[in-house]
Amino acid sequence: MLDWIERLSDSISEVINSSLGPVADFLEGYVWAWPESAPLLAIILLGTGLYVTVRLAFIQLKGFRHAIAITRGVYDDPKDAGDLDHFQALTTALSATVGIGNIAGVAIAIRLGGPGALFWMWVTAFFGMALKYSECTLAVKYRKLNVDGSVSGGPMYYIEKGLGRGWKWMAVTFAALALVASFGGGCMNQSNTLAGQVEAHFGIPTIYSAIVFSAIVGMVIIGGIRRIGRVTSILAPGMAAAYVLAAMYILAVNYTEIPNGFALIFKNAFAPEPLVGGAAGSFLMTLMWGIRRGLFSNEAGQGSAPIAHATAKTDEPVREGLVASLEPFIDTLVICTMTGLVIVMTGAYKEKVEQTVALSEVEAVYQIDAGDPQLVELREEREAADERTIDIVDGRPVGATLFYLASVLEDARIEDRTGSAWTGRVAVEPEDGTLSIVEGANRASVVGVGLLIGAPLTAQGFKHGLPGNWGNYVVTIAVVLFAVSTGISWSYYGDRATEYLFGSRAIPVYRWIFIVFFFLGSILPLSAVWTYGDVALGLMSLPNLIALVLLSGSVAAMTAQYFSRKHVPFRDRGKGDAT
Amino acid sequence: MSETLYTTILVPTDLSPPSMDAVRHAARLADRIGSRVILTYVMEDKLPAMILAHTTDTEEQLLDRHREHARKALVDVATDLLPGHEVDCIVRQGADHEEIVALAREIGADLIVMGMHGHGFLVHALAGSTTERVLHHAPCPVLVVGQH
Repeated sequence: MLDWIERLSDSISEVINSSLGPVADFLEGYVWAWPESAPLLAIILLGTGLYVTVRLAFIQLKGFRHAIAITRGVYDDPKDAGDLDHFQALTTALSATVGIGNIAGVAIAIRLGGPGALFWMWVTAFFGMALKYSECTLAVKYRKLNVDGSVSGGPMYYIEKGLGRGWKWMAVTFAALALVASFGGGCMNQSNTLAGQVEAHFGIPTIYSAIVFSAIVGMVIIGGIRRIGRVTSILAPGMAAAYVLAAMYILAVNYTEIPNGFALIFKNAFAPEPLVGGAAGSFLMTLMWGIRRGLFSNEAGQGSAPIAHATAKTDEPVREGLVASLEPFIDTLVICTMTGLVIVMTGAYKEKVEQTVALSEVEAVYQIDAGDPQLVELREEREAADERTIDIVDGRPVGATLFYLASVLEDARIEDRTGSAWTGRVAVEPEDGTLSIVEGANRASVVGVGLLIGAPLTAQGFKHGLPGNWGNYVVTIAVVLFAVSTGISWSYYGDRATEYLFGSRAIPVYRWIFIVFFFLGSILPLSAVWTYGDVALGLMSLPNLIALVLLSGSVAAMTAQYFSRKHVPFRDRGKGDAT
Repeated sequence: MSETLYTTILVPTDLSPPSMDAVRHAARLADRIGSRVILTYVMEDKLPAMILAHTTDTEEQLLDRHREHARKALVDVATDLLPGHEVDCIVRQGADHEEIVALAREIGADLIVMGMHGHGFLVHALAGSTTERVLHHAPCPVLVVGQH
């Protein structure tokens, strides 16, 4: 039975990976790497952030203290329309935002972009605070009030109502892309990391996590079992705090290393050293990975958080915007920084560890003993080579070296399911060097010593810094809680997009599809899932960023109008209207 | 046969512009033939998991608040568009077409007046409209007021 389930999950993941993978890779080239010398999306994202920051006269600095007072509930009026008070709306949006991006995402950025990527994550967060402010102010201003006092809001509503009927196509485009994206970043990426980390830590095959955690999320969003959602919403922020404390402990113990850590991050931000493992360091690579993972983590400018903030119980849009502007601060400047410093200061990012990688995830080149390999040249040779297969004798690839995400897998051997050496022949895909079995038993994977990536890399850093096996536990528990709570919140974003596009009757159908994707995310390979997620998030940002530029005048006017008034805490208002 | 053709008119509304046209039409009808008008709004009976996870109110408290809010909204419509009429305002919870049909039976409505919703063709193809569903199951004639 178990064997049968595992084989089924293998075939599902293979079919999806081979059909979805190339499409996602192709789109990725346009969304995140076109034109190659100055990727458009990065320029638009940073440009809009800078523009809005200047136009709003550095609202993220000016409004910071007032934002904290609002979040503390000083100005809450229970009679205002909406379902959640300021603090609840913030924790809701944070539950969607603080996810595995803060743990696995940072590790991916540093592994693929070098330590300097963290600097660019900070930059997206700083400008992101002004973007978040703008989008959430607009979300409350242009939200739709339902007959029963509940509200629906988000970019689709502020595009349609703020820019006018002529822009409805862009509102629909946004909602459609948000719908697609809700299956990626907020769903498959979460379950993928969750299942991967549970497997790395407890040795539990991903298919079991897929079943258990899809069922849990399903019980909340389809079954309406409130208690699980409630428990997650209480545990997740607690876990975030515990995670930050654990990281701060590591930093405190290694305080002499802190200046070096920062120096490394700043230096590599502009002049990256060649990445460990052979790939040449490049400024663009560092910049792009910083921005990509920054956007993925704090979601500023992406248009997702406004959907949660629109439900806030307030009649002052600016207040909700200010509350929301705290998100990139908490998410990226605090939590991601902790993760990043731990990874950099403990040296975990350049440490080689034995790990298992799927055949479809490795990259083979035709050369033995690649001592100081120049991967780019080896790739050209591979594409030009006549050879298309590699013999595997007693687990060892003959005449080839294997890489995992551009870094060498040392002492690589191919093993079958039971862990014994595999013999046979594999075909090499000339373009990307991935392997597939031609002759031999039909299940094999690669075991080798190489650089870690994702949540396991973060766990490695924490393991160095904390006594015993605590590091692993902190990271694994955080990953599980963040992934589940982010999944629940993102399903709400998809709900609203579905409602906008198809009406409320389509919502139950959407929720079932969401659970199917949550399940699939757990069993699909890491790179396919993250590529899909990145493409979808990048695409949904575009219409939102355009709207933020076009509506920036309206936001500036609302801001000026708000700050020209005096604001009295609710409890100090006239006795007559207090409840 | 009773003196008036339509004694009790049920008018479901979600306060959207098309449904307000229906309310206006029902008002004219009621003026002319002296019928009793019942305004109804059907609200969702379930709140999204995300909201429930993060609020400190109970689901009942939230739903009560929504119900009260909706009832007030209906009363406002009645005062505006049906002055001088005796109007009942009823808020129901559940799937809209089922509740409308059930209510029509309960109160013995002999006419339902409602608007045609202005969704795009995609929504229409996938889900149909509430009006269409009511049309299929209503215990009495249904007068559909199009957008003019």
